[in-house]
Amino acid sequence: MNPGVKQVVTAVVWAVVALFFSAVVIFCATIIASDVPADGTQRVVIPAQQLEPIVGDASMARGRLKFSRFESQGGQHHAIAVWRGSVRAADYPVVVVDFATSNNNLAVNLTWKRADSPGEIFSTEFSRGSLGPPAILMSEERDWRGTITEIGLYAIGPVPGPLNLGSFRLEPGGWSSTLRALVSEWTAYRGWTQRSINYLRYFPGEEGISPLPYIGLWPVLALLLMLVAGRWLRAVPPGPGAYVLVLVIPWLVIDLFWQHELRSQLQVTRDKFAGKTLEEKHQADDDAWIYNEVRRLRQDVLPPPPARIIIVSSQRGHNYERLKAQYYLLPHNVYNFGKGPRRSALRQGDYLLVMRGTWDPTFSVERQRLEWARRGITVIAREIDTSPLGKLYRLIDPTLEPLHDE
Amino acid sequence: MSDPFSLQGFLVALLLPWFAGTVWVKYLLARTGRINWYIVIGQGFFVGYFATTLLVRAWDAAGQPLNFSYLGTALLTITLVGLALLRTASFPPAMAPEERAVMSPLVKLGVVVLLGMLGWRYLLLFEELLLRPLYAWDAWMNWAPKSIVWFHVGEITDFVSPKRWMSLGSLADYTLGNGQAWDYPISVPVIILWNMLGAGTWDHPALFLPWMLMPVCLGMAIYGHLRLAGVSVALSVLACYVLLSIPYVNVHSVLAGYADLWLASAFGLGVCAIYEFARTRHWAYALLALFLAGFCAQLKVPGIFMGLILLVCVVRTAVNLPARIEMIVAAVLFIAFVLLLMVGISFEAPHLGTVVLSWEEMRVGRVGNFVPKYHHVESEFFETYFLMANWHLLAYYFFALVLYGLGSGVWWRWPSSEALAAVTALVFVVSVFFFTGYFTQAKNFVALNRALLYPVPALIFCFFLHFPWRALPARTRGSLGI
Repeated sequence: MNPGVKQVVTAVVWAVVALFFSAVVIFCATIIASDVPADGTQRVVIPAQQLEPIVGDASMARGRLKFSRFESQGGQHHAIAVWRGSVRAADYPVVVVDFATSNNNLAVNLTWKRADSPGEIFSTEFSRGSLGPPAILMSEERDWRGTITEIGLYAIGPVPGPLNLGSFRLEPGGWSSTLRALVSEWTAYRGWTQRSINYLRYFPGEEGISPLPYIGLWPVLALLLMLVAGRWLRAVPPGPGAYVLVLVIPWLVIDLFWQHELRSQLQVTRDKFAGKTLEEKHQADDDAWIYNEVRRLRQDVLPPPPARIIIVSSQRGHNYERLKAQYYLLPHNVYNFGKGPRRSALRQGDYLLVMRGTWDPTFSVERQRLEWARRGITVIAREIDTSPLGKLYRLIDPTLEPLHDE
Repeated sequence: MSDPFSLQGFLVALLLPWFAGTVWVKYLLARTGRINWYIVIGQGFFVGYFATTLLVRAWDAAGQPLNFSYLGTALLTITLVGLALLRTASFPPAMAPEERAVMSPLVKLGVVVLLGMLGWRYLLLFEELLLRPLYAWDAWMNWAPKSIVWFHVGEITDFVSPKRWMSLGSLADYTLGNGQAWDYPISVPVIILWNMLGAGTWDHPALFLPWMLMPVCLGMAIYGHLRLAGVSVALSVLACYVLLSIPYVNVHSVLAGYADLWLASAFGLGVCAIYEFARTRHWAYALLALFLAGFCAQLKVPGIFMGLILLVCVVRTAVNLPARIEMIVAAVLFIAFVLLLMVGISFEAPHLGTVVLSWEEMRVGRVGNFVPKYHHVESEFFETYFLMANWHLLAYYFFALVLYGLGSGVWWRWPSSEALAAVTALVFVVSVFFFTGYFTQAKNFVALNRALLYPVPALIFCFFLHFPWRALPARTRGSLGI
């Protein structure tokens, strides 16, 4: 064999073997450190036949509970199936639910009730896109304690179904079920949120166990094993290439996890936006209702830009609705900061958009005045539009009233 | 609500700055004899885009309306002048790459795998960006709004603070929903504006394609600089893979519209230029480093400090004091700085405003007031580096290899300028969160990772440049492709 090729093959073998044994050591250590199930605790399997649909209509088909109709309420579609019984939460730190849906807009939640709080329903959302059936590490859920008297699956979304359920599995503690739940969490689809530009986590939401320390320990242990073993096998030393590979392979592994997340995200993005014009994309986007309301105001109510528009909102700081409204109102000249400007900054002809949920200022129809009770400001205005976004006023004359400046 | 998208105009807007930058970088650096096409094309992208923003701003300052045909013609003219100069100039032959043993097939396979992973990654991100309307918060809150206003009014109007907006009352004075954003440097809004002008619309995902091209060009330039420095093909590709596979780098590319990746790239490539300046002592690379320092300062307020770091390191390289004398000078400057802090100083700094430095208070006019005090954000740093999904294993490897480098004695030497620049940037960013009121931005993770991004390309470049594998026999390295 060519000496160069021999060196490379040696490096690859050393790296793969070292990483393998390192993984075995970490795996064994994890098993030893993991919770041991209470004596006698067995897995509980709740088949579909024992699930009762309490919202929506469902029937059994080939051993699965299949929902044929969702209930519509409040613009959302709902379906719930429950099992009623009695189990100790502490005995079952992992819950696995076999369900299937092709509807990416359906949020699927695990719900439960406790004996010590019968009127209260607790829930946690299932992650999507995991490798294997979705499993939740319930020991991480604060409210999973005491005696559980009801477990259910609650699906909700803007578009109904399809949805079918196989079984619920309550798993006792131990490395196997814990590992399954963790892998389910780590491979679950997280998706872009407005926090993604700031930081990324290995699990949906803000709470969870990160795999990074295990993956970080993996090459470190492998390097140590190689260093030690290299002293014994002096005839076939690892060589620098082996050390490089030991660092590169774990990086590649964790990069594949990230690639999986990006692929899942792209699929969701394609479902939402592919094949659409820009206008249709805006209609499909999460802020469509803001976009539509602002577009209507611009087309039907406001003069051609620029006009001075003041956005007033009780929400302080970086509020999504007020800021997105400002963005879509551009190039109108928008003041959208704090509680609104001083009275002395108001001009005749200014528009005031008082966002929904904002109770100061209020408009007096009888007096045709916009009144800021807390600031003692009153201005003459006309209400010219009302919409889910808020109410739009036009200032007739901000100077006529005796005024109390801030 | 938006105008039709002109594909032709957009492609010109997207590619002409890149082409212009490539021509002028080639013209600038070819005279050094140390150049390759990866550097020319990679650096050319950033030089070209910054130069384009300067052209647009100069055009506006001259009172001319923002018309893409005229601006494009001006840029094209500049490019053609560069091409003409290239044709007529005579330069020394470019340095041949260092000869080494042929890579084994397995190492070549490894290189192909890494490049394949990157290709797959960026194809996904490319499609994601083109499908989704503008998404990231600060992009539509801070950066794109200026571009939209300028696009519609046909000039680069000043934005004012909310307080000043209240007193001015004019339709021409705009403000933003974020209290400080009105005063941010404007290179990124001008880049977005340039693409809007070319495309003829203010609203289209493609306007943010420069954010996808950015990491590609950054990777090319870093690869080119490493190869020029004698690092093997395999390790140079590995460096690019490490940098461009980082999830946080990917996020800032695909959720486009922020200035942070621009700043990280400009700073990183400035550090690469400083290395070549130190190596060649040629003014061309110093000029490139200074140009990129100026770009940093025009991207974000922290970029002013990043640009200063590059400037100081260029001066240090130019002066090139012996290590002992430099140690003495550094010690004297440090003592003088401490004494000044005890006394307290105040002065006006360009772009920064009034600067006050004392033990009790530090004030940088444009940035804010700071009372130097230690804040416990260790757990946030630990979480972001060792638990979150932002950086893959970068922090694990960085700390382990720093310990190795120091333990093996390879790094116990007076720092080179590029290493000093990269490490100083990291220390600066970390210090801001540990010692100023910005610690709150670490506590809620809003700005922590964005700031930590700034020195990353530079650190990865320095890492692969100075790692101890260079000490191995050439034959061993060659056969292993390192």
